[in-house]
This record gives sequence, structure tokens and C-alpha cells, in this order.
Amino acid sequence: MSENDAQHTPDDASVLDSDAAEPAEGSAGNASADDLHFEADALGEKLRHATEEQLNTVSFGIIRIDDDGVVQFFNEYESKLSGVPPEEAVGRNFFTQVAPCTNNRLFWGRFKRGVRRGDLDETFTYTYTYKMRPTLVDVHLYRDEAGNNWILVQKY
Amino acid sequence: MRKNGTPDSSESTGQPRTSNNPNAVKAVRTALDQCPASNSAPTAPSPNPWADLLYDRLCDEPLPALIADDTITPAASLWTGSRLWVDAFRAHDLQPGDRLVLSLPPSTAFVQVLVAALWEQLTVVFAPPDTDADALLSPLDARAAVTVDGGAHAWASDEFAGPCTTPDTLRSPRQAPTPDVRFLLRTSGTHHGRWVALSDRNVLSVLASHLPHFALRNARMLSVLPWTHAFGLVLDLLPALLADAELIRDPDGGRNPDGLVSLRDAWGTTHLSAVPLTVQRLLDQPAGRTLVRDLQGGIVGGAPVSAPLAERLSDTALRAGYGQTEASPGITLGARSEWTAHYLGRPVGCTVTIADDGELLFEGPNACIGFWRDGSLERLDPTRTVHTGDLVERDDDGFIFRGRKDASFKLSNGRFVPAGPLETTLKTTYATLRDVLIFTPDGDNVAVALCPRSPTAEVPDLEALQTTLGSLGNRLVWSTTVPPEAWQTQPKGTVDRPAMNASLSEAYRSATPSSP
Repeated sequence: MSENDAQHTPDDASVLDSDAAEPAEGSAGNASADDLHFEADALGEKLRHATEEQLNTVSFGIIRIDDDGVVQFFNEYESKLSGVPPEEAVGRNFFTQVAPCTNNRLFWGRFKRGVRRGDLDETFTYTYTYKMRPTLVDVHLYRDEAGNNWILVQKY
Repeated sequence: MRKNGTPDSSESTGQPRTSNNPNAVKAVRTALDQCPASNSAPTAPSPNPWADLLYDRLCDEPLPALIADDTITPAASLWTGSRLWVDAFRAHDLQPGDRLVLSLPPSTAFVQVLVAALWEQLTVVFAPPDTDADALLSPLDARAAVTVDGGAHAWASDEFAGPCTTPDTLRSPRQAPTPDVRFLLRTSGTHHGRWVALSDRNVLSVLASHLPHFALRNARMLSVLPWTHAFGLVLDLLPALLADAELIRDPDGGRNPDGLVSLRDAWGTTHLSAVPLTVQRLLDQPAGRTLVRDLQGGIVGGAPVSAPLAERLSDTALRAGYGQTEASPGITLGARSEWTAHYLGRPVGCTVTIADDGELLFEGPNACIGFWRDGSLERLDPTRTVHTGDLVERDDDGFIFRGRKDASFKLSNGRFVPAGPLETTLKTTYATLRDVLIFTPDGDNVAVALCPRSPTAEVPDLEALQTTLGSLGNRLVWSTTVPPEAWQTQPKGTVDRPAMNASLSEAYRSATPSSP
């Protein structure tokens, strides 16, 4: 479990953000699993109101990382796609240890710029390697209003 | 979706580990040291100089990265894709030196197949994607091909992940494998198009001599040259792969300046290598001018650079480059911003001399290993002196192009007409001329076709041309003006001499009814 998750009480341990009960003005409010699809409107804001269980039911990759790139959450879809168990990904740096092929200006550079500016909402197409096979994916980098950083990955 | 955001062009990479360009030069030199110097047929398997080079640059690495069709493919995925091709080649028992036709558009798949072929020490026959690859198999005695659509003896390529179909069978070659020939590249000459055989040593020697001049640290290279030609393959694609660059592929091959500006806006651009025509098109529009002037490096080569273009290039970081496929294709390079009309640069990685008739000759490790002719490999002496067919003049320690030797002709009275140098003289004398062609319409006299820079540009009259041509002026009987849109050129922008000669001779007969 990540350090961030460990701050929650047992009752909200599976909720990713502590202000989920009182969504900020303009945010998407509590998400249902049905709302969570890759191209949903305001998906980035819905994520922090979703439970880990909900995030694990979607059919696209969801990774939450801190400002330095350390993985806080790694959903089951991404785990199956990459062959990396969530417990091995969490606590490691996404850009240098989990997916080192993203350690460039085109991926991590965008992320760092967005974090530095406090405004990250970028979508691009990338060829990941999953289990030794190049795989075309759409990537969405998003920083939500609570300061959570999300990497969303949709396989073609 | 595939809607890319725009990376900040001033943004550094994610991690301090960015470019290992100095290491790339060292690694290429180490690879070159593994290559045998002899061009004789190998009697024993030789070490693969590409193996460590490619593994170290690509496996698990975030850079280099290829950006094509709005998709970013990092080195790691170029590498894993190439492994799928290695598996496919091995499953069909392709052996080192087996000839494989590679006929794909410049793409992720192209790079993956190339890397796999280098890994397996195949002889890669490059063919443009619109080529009938099947028709090449027999004359090149190739065992198989990789194409977009596949075929009886061809794999069809997936866009990103290995083959999507396999050949029914591979061809049984008539000739022995050519394990010391890494590439077979067709020259672009209209009259003398032929298949040039390049060895690992040929290509790596040019990379080793040229890479230090390229300043590719943190480079974002806009790629417009065809990768099936030597210039694009050896001086654009391979340097990018070996120097951890971002390689941004233009789908239009440099023909659309607006598209190049859009790619610059989307991805940033620090380097561009191109033929003069591409650079001219960019300079002809404001955004393109900014693009060219902001470049940190690149080569302009493949055709002579006119005086007006040379002047405009003088305040850019671009440099002149000259070579031929037979030279792998590097002979000379100019310094950054060093431009004058038809300047070729100084020798790099080889020795250059000028023959008595002005022809540029060179010797060195860049001299091709031979030619594929009439169904077999014709090996050449690696220590030979190569005649380029290009007439030059010395300019300090560099060279100025004066025309093609084979553009020369004799009149019926035996007078030799060095058309190339004379055309250069006319273009240099009259700045309003974009191009000039001197030909003989009847074997006895000469005529001149003038291509003005603009429809309103003033062109010299017959009398002025006669004066400029000196003693040959007595034989100048006709001149005509051909607008740029009717001026027939080869893809790289040089005049298509046979086509122009035919149409101009017809025009001369119509204009001078008394002519035979």
C-alpha cells in the first residue's frame, strides 16, 4: 500500500482521495464503474472519487503516481497487460523502474512540465512493450484538482 | 483518439541520461574495428559489428524514439519489434548473407525489420514501397521480401509488431549468400541506375567519420529523405538511431513545406537533412524560413546548391554534404554556415584528388564493395581510385561542383562541349536563372534552355549568352525559356536531361522550320 493510502481510515481505505465525500465544485462527483471509460468526459476528475475496486474493474490501464513519478496505484488491467503485479509496481518510480521506455522528453518530459505548471492534461499515442511485444496505446496524462497525477492507458 | 499534445520544445528529457552522442561515436568506431578490411569473399563467419551497437542503443531504452503517423515508438519497442522479426527470419531459416528485399514505407516497421536484418547479418535490398517487390526477387536473387501486403515469398508487416503474414516458401537462390554485403542500394541516376553493394565497413566508416560533425546531442531530427536511398539511410536514419535522437518522420517526404512546419510545431525540430529543393520550398514561406533558421544542424546535399540558395543558407547552421551511393555515401562535408554556389565541402573519411580533366576522384573505406550486376556480385578492389563523374574545382581545401562529366558531348566537328561547367557559368553569371540546360539540337550547334526564377524574371538574350559562352558562342544558335512548372527534374531536383533534350529538340525543330 502506498504512503498516501495509508493515511485513510479503515472506512475510506479503498477511496483514493479523502475529499471524495465532498467533491469540489465542478468536479465529477462520485463515479460509478459505468462512468469510467477511457474517453468519458471529465474522466480525470472522476477517478479520485472512485474506489480501488471500481478502478480495478475498468478495461484500461490506470496508474496513479506522485510528483516524482513514484507509483501509488496500479490497476489490475495494467497489471495483466504488463505482467507486473501491482505490489511490485507500487513504491517504484514509473518512469525509471516500471516502464523505463517512458524516460524521455516525449513522456516523462510532458509529465514533469505539467506537474511544474500545475496543469497536466495531455493525450498522445505511444508504442509500449508489453510482455516483449510492441503494443499501440493511447496515453492520457492528467493531474486532478486534488493534485493526484494519473496515467491512463488504452490499448488499441 | 491519437490526438497528440505538444511537447515543450524547450523541455529537457525526463532524466539526465539524455544523449550519449560522444559514446555513440566511440561505439561506432569500436564496431568499425571489427570489420575486415578486405573485399574478398569471406571464407569464415565474421563477427557482427552491429550486434553490440544495436543492443546497447535500443534494448530497454527510451531513446532513440521514432515519431511517425502521430505515434511515438521508443527504442525499447523498436527493439522488441525487431526481435519478432528475428524470430520470423529464423523460423524460415534465413542465413547470413541471404538477400532480403525490404519494401516498406519509412515507418516503425521499416526500422524494426532493418534492425532484425542487421542482427541476422542478412543482405538487405532496399526498394521503395511502391516497387513491385516480387519482380525484384529474381534479378537480385533474393530469398524473400518484406512488404506491406506480403506475397508468396514475402512477409506482410504489421505496423508495429512483427509480421502479420508469412511467406508460403522462400526462394532458392542461384548464387551463394553474400554475408559481407550488408546493403544493396539502387543509385538514383537516370542513365546509370545500378545496384551498389555496401559492406558493414563501408557504412560504419562513413558513420564514424561523419557522426562527430553532426552535433546530435538531444537532437530532434525532422526526417524527409527516403530511407531506401543511401543519403537517407546512412546520414539520416542510422545517425538518429545511434545518437539517441527523436526522429520525426514526414509522411510527405519533404514535398509539403506546410506539413514540415506543422511537424515542427507539434514536436520541435533541431536538425533537418534534405535536398536543396526541399530547403528552397521551406525558405519560400515565412514559417519555413523560421524553421530553417532555427535549426541546429543538418546536411543539404544530393544536388548542387545554387548561388541564391547558398546565400540564404549562410545564416543557418546547415552544412553542405556531398557523396554518392558508391561512396556509402559520404565524401565531403562543409562547415556549418559555410556556403557558396555549388560548394561541396572538404573530404571527410577519405582521400580526394582531382583528375586532369577536373573529375573528382576518391579513395578510402567508403568505396563500395562492388555492384550487383547481371544476377551476381561483382567485387571491386577496396584500394581502388573511384571516378565520381563529377567535375569540380578546388576552393581552398574544399571543392566546387562544376557539372556532370557525362553531361558533356561532342559536336560533329569534334569540338568538346563541357555542358555541366558551362551551365554553372551561366547560372552564376545570371542570378535570375534557376536552371540552365545546354544541348545540341542537330549535332552541329548548341542551344540553351533557360529556366527563370519567376515568371517575371528577366532572362539574358541570345547575344548576351553568346558573349558569356566565349568561343563556343559562335555555335549557339537558339535559346528558349522554359517556365519552372515545365522544367522536368528528377526527384532530387536535378534536371532530367534525357526528357528535356527530347522535348527541347522537338521545340527547336518547330521553331526553326528550315532545320533538318
